[in-house]
Amino acid sequence: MPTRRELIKAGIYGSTALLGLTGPRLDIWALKDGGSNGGFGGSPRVAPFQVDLPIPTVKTPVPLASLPGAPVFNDGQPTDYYSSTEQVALQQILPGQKTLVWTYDGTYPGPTYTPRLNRRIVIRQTNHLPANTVVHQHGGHTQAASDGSAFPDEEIPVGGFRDYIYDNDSDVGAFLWYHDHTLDFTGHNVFMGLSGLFLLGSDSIDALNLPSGPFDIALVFQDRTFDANNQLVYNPFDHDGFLGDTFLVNGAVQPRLRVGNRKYKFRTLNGSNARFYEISLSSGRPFQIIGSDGGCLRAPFETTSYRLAPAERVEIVVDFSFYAPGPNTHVFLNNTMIQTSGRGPDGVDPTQPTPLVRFDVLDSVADNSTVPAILETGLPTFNPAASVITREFDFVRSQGAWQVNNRFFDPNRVDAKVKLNTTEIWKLKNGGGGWFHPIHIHRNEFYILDRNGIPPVGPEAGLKDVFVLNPGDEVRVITSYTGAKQLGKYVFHCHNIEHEDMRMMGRFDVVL
Amino acid sequence: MRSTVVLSVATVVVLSALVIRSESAQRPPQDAAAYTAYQRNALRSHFPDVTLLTQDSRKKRFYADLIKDKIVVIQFMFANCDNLCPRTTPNLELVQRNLEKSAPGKVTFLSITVDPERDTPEALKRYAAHFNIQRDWYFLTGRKEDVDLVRRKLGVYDPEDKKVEHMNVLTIGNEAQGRWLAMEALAKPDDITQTVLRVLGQTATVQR
Repeated sequence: MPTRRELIKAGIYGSTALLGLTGPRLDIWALKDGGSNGGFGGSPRVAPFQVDLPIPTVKTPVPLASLPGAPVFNDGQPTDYYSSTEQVALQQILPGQKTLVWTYDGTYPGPTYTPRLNRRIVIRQTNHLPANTVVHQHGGHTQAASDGSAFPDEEIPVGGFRDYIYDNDSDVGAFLWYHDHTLDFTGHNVFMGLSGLFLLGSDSIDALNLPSGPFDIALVFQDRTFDANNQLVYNPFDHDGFLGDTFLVNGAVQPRLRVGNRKYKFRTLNGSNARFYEISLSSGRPFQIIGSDGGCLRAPFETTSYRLAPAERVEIVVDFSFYAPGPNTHVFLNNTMIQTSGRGPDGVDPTQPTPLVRFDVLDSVADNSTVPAILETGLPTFNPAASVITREFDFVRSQGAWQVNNRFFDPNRVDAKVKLNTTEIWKLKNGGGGWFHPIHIHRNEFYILDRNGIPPVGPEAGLKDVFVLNPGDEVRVITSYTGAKQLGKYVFHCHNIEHEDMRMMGRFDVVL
Repeated sequence: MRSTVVLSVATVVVLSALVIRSESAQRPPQDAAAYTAYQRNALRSHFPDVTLLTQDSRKKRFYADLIKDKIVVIQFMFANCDNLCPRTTPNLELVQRNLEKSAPGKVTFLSITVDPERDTPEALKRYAAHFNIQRDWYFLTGRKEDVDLVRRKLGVYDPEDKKVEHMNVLTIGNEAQGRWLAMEALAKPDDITQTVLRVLGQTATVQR
């Protein structure tokens, strides 16, 4: 019996007889009654690598005059204006019947924004969906009123609009994204498609001469389950965390990408509600990690695989010059994380890879790009000795749901008051019980000081806005709350979105 | 004879209407309104339509009589509970009073016992009277397997939590809109009230 890896190499992977080996794992459903997609059945089986990787369109600005009532600024900072409409759309995801998705501007994933560091943008989001929404720009150093922090009084009503202001005044450029953040309904809304990319560019990143333009490609990993009509049906009663049985990348089932024998930069984002990934190449070759959630690393980090928790981003450079171009040269980007319940991953099994993307190395192309030994030089430093307080937050399971410091989220209760222009250390703990919690803190990128006393390496040593609390973990993070424009109320929460919707969330206010 | 024919024709018409309705509900949605109907229809088959007994010993089917077309707040409790229920039930009573002002008669409260073997309708009636519960609130018991099925389908069955057999979790839903969420039963009454109103569609959000 050949292994799956051998079948992949032989190029016969994906034939009808072997479909059972692709993403769908039937035991996911068999294990749970009333759990993920309980009672809704499994997705129609789809052969992988039948479609090209979709590249979301890049959004272009509109004239200020086309947005009556939009905010105007006289502070000298240049501003670009954009208009986006939240709406349902029919999209070809599976063969046959199109799938109804919830979108920003008619596509899932939504359009990509490519602002520059310190150049402000304003996005008018008009809501034509059948429910109120909130848009969160994930990883942004955003003013409170535009942060999209799940507060009910900041929802965009059906038929209404909201102008989101993004100052883009972070320390460095970064691979950010945006997604829905409506209190109690984020899981459903993101599942239905409300997510897109926000690529904050900068001169210092451009100067690195990393692979760019067509060789700089974002890959958004999301798992979904479809019904017999190819429709997305969300189970609002699965509070453990949604797991899909079909793997999508940029909204397509296990797509293929034609590449040349050169270096590519891949910006990988786990946009899934609750699934963890372990990413590696089928060839086993190492690659360079160059970026984390909040920007480029100080120096590249070579590895053969990395874990990607919900909402985490890792940027990598893969060099295809090791492979001879040809019609049979396929390299797969694999997920080897096994996960059978929303509570967290079961572990990595390299013998059971699920290919997410097939790279077809076909073209011979020149490559002038580099991966410099020193990457981002503009990274901030936060001095632990300057910390004015160490706050402790315990993420625990209690009475069938999840709490922070034994309390559920109350949008009207301030759990921490942070003074502007101070440095703070937060110690975040996981109460255990086998639950994993990817924690996201809004407003600021931070550094992990240590995880269970051990300093981080690789992408965890870079700027972060999400990190995993494994069962029993204690993680200390540090940041400085600079930015006088960014005063007001923000949230931090578990980014297993079903846990978030069960209000595993806290509020912190940044005050003068 | 004539009446039989009329009856048969009527039956066929009714049945056809039902078939057409169910087919149209299952057709892949093409727009936002159809999506809402589609999601609702998918959830409809998720809800068990088991028969439960009210505090007045009346039979009610869980989906058809208690959920369908309603805005509901669902709590799990048991009458002899000395832990959470003595606090959650009065908490919900305050929510109900709030809602009587802002959305009178629109929200149904369901308190389902997780101890159906001990909690007879009479026991639940005493419990309701103890908390001075009035109308639009059913206290429900039934066969244990039926109650457990409801708990599992609503995702509030926690085998880990053996000591406190039910959870401090409310399920709040608008069946016609297919919108459901869960939140803490001991949240502040105003927070729960606001959440119910959001699910109801009476949001107080202001366009900025």
